Amino acid sequence: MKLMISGKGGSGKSTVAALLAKNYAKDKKRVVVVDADVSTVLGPHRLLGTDIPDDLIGYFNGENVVREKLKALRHAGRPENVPNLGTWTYDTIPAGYGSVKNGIQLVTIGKLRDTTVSCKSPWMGLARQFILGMQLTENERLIVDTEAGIEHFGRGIDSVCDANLMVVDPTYESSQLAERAAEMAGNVKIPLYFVLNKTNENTSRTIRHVITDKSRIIGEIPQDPVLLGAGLGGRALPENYPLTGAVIKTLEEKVRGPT
Amino acid sequence: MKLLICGKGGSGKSTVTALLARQYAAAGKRVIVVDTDVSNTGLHRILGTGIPPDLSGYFGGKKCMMDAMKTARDENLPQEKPILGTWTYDTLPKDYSSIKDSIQLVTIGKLRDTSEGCTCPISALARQFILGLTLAENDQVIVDTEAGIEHFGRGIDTLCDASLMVVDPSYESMCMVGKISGMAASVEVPLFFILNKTDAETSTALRDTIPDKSRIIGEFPLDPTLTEAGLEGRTFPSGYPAAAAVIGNVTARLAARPTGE
Repeated sequence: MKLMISGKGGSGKSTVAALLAKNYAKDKKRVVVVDADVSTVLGPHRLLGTDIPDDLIGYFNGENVVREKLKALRHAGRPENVPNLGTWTYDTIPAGYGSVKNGIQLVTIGKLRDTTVSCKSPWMGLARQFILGMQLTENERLIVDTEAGIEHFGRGIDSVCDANLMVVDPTYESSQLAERAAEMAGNVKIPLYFVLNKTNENTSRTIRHVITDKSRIIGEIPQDPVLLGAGLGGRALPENYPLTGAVIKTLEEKVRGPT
Repeated sequence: MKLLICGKGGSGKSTVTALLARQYAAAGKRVIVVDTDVSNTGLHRILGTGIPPDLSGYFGGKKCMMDAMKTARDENLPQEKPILGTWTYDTLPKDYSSIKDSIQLVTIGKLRDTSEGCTCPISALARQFILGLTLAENDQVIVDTEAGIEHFGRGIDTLCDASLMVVDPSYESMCMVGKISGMAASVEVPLFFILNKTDAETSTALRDTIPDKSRIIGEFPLDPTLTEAGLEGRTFPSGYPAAAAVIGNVTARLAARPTGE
C-alpha cells in the first residue's frame, strides 16, 4: 500500500507520517517514507530517528537534467502510469539515497537549496516517478509526506498512491481544505480519509461539525504535549502510539480489504 | 511600502498579514493585501472583506497569461518592466478586489481542481501584479505568500521593501530561520523576523537560536482570542498593540537604512 499524507501547512503531516511509519515498523512491516516536501528545510528524519539521506534528485543529476528528461518523456507520449525513470524495491533504493533505521527507510526527493530556484515541477515529477517505480512486497508500505496545501493533487502524486490521508488541525483553513479535497475527490481515483490532529474537546466538535462527510474521518490524535515536545526538541516519536494503531487498522481494512 | 510575509506552513503568515493590515488601516493607510497562496482560502474572513474572484480570471486564465509573458520574454523586455499593466489603489481591476474599511484584498489564484499541474503561472502573475502596483504615499501593500521559501526563487521578494518572516515555536521554523539567515547575504531585500504563538519558554528558545537578533522586530505571544477568532472566522481586531509595534519598528528600520543600500 502506498499512502499519501496531505494537509495544511503546520497541520501535522510529518508527525502523522512518522507515527504511522513507526507503528508499521513495530508491526514488522518495512516502510519507505518519501519526503516529497521541497519547501521544508529538514523534513521528518528527526521524528523518524533516521539520518538525512542525500537528495534523490542528485542521483538523477539535478533538477535541470530531470526537467529535460521529464519533458522528453511527455513529448514522446509515454503513458502516465508506466514508470519511466526506473523501478526500485526496498532493497535496491540507490545507496546513500535511502536512510534506514529499524525497518524505516527515508527517501528525500529534494529541498530548495538556494534563492534562484523557481519552478517545483522537476521535484514533483521525480516524486511521482519514484513512487510509481517503487515495487512493494506484501510486507512493505510506502508513506509520502507531501507539501503544504493541495498543489500535489494537480501534480498527479495522488494518482500513484492507494489512499490519501489528510491531516486536519483545528484551524478554519484546515477544515476548508478538507472540504475542498472532498469536493475534488470525485475526480480522484483514490479514497480520501481524514485524521483530526491537535484537537481538544471543543475543537474536535467544531471540526466534526464543519466536515460534511464524517465517514471519511478515520482517526483523531488529540493535542499531546509529548508529541509537541518531541517535535520541538527534535526527538524521535514513540513507536507504539495507540491512536496510530487504530488509524492503521482502519486504513488496512478499507484500502487493502479484510484479511 | 510593500511588505512580504513569509514563513513555514502554519507559522501564522495570514494571521500576521491580517493584524498588520487592520493596524495600518486603523492608522489611516489604504492597504492592498495580495494573497498569493494557491491552497488556503480563509484570509478574507479575518480581514473582514468578501471573497474576490481570482485575478487570474481577469487576465483570461492561465494560458492567456502565459502567452502574454512568453511574448514579453521573446521580445527581451527587461525584468523590471511590468508586462500585464500597472495599477493604483483606485484602479485595481474592477470586480477583482474586495474592500472593507480601506483594506482591499486581491487573490491571485486558487487551485480549483485536480488537473491544474504547475502553479508557475500563478506565481508569475503574482510577480507581475506586485511589480505593476504603483503606490501613493499613504498606501501600503502586504503580500501573503505560500508556505516555505519558494517565492524567493520567484523574485517576488525583490519587488518588496522588506521580507517579514513569521517564526513559530517549531523545530522546522527554527531551521528555516537558519537557512534564510544564510541566504540573506544573497538577497537584497531587508529580512526581519516576527515571533508568533510564543510563551515565555518558547520565546527564549527561539531567541536563542536566531543568529542575528537585530532582525527580530516584533512578537505576537500565543493569544487564545486570536485562535478562536481564526477558527470561527471573525474579523481580527484593529488596534492590536503587538501589530502597532511591528509597524513602528519596520518603518523606523527601513528609514534608518543608508540610501542606496
